[in-house]
Amino acid sequence: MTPAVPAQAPSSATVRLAVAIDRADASTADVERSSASIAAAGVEPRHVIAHLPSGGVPAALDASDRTHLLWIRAGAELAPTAIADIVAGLERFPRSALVYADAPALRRPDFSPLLLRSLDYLGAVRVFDLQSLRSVDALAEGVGALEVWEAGLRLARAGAEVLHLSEPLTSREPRPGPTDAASVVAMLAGELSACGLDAMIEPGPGGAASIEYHSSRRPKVSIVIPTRGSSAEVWGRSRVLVVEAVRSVIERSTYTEIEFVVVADADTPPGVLEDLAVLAGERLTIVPWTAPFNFSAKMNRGAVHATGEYLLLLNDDVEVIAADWIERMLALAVQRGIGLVGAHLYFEDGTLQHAGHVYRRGEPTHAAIGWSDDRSDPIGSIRFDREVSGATAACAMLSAETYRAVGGMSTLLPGNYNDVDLCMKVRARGLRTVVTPGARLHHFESKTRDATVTDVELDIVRGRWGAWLEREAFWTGEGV
Amino acid sequence: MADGTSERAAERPEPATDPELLEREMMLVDQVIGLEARIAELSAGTRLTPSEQLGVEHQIAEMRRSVEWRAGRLITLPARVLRRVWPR
Repeated sequence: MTPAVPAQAPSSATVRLAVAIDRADASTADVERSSASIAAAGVEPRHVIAHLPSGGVPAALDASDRTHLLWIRAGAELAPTAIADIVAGLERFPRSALVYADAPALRRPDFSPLLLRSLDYLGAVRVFDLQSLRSVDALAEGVGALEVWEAGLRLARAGAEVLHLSEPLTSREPRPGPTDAASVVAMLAGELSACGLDAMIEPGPGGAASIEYHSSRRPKVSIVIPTRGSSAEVWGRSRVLVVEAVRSVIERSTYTEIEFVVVADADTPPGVLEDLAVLAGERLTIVPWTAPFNFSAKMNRGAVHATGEYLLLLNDDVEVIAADWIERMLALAVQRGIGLVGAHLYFEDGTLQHAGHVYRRGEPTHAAIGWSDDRSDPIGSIRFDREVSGATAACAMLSAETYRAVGGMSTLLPGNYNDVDLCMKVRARGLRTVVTPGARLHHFESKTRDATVTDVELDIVRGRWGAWLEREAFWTGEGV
Repeated sequence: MADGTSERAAERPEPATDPELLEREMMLVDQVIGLEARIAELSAGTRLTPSEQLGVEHQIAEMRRSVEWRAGRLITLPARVLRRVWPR
């Protein structure tokens, strides 16, 4: 009979693993289960640190020939092919400082430094490059779940490369044990302080934490709204969309350093412009638009008339829900490495319209569309600020500098996918797109909206960014 | 200036300030980025991150393991054999 597991782990000149089992409060049976799976995967017993000291990575490893540390939470079982997969991944991408993987029947997002601050989603098995660990002084104090989470954050701060394997490294992954909330908050506070960030940390269930970032700066934010001054029925009553959008921003927002740049079609009723002037006063700039419809060109025109350091691209069919939405978006937009910030948008009936873009097999769509607020994705990421593949320009913030540097919105995409393209251009600049559930607005777009999508627009976006639109990197909810 | 700094500065175009010029500048930047992106798409090298490369390979492997793929291969088997036997 062919053995189900390799008799010996694949040997490698460049990857030599030591294995640490995090016993925490695990039962003896859990530890034995993990040990058995490690042995079955072919790891020699002398390379397993079975009895972890209360301190960190043993100094003995410094003098050993080991290159990497495989950390496993007691109770998890290594998959028979785990070591081979790790070695293959590290040999192919030797600069990886940290490796993690999906679990059986559970996809995890690609590496998301922002999400990782709130949620340790990296799973029960991780592989660290020992040299990288030493360079960020991680795991020196201990190798418990909290220290391992902190090690990931430190590596992220140092800009280390992180490899996400799609092949599960485990055949069984237990849920993480209880985590002391005070320790989590203390660890995160230290990490955020090291990043130079001011934030309020609220411990949540399962050891996660909601983080509300605060920006000490209050730069001017230019809210750019293209409109034709149209009316629509919302909650049974007719309204002039742009007027009510601006009214809600003024009446409900707590951030005051704003200006409105409204790009209005020539046929916008004069009464609408008068109402806007009354509402926004000196903070309003009306920019006329007389050319044929082109949403991107209208947004660009607004952007060049804006005087703010940051632009907030906004559709006219929105209404503010969360008073601190601008602060929440701005506090992310000013962070290093973040290029564009999106919001959570809700339909008229209170279900989600937008929680980030999802790109799969060349088709852009929205994550969590139609979900109620109490529904969550498998890892619970939707509750936290997080990386996304893209975000809708119905409500998006980015610096005016970045907007101009990427050429604004592409005028080749007058109606659709201009926001997908914008996010891809931001990515091409090495910046990330994120969304925050703290910024909540209604977006009165019909669930059954029949957006006229031309093949030409989709072809342009695929021609530019086809490879990045094939596989969804971050959203692991339904339909992916 | 001896080091040529001022000449280089003079050669560099000033950033546009006129709104109309700024719009045109953005349009041109977009088109350049778009063309660069298309070239990158068509070139042999990949722009995918290591995780994305592995993820896409995993997707392809999963697709090849699927019943639909296998059924398709079976159905097209005669055509594929004929194509080999009967060269163009």
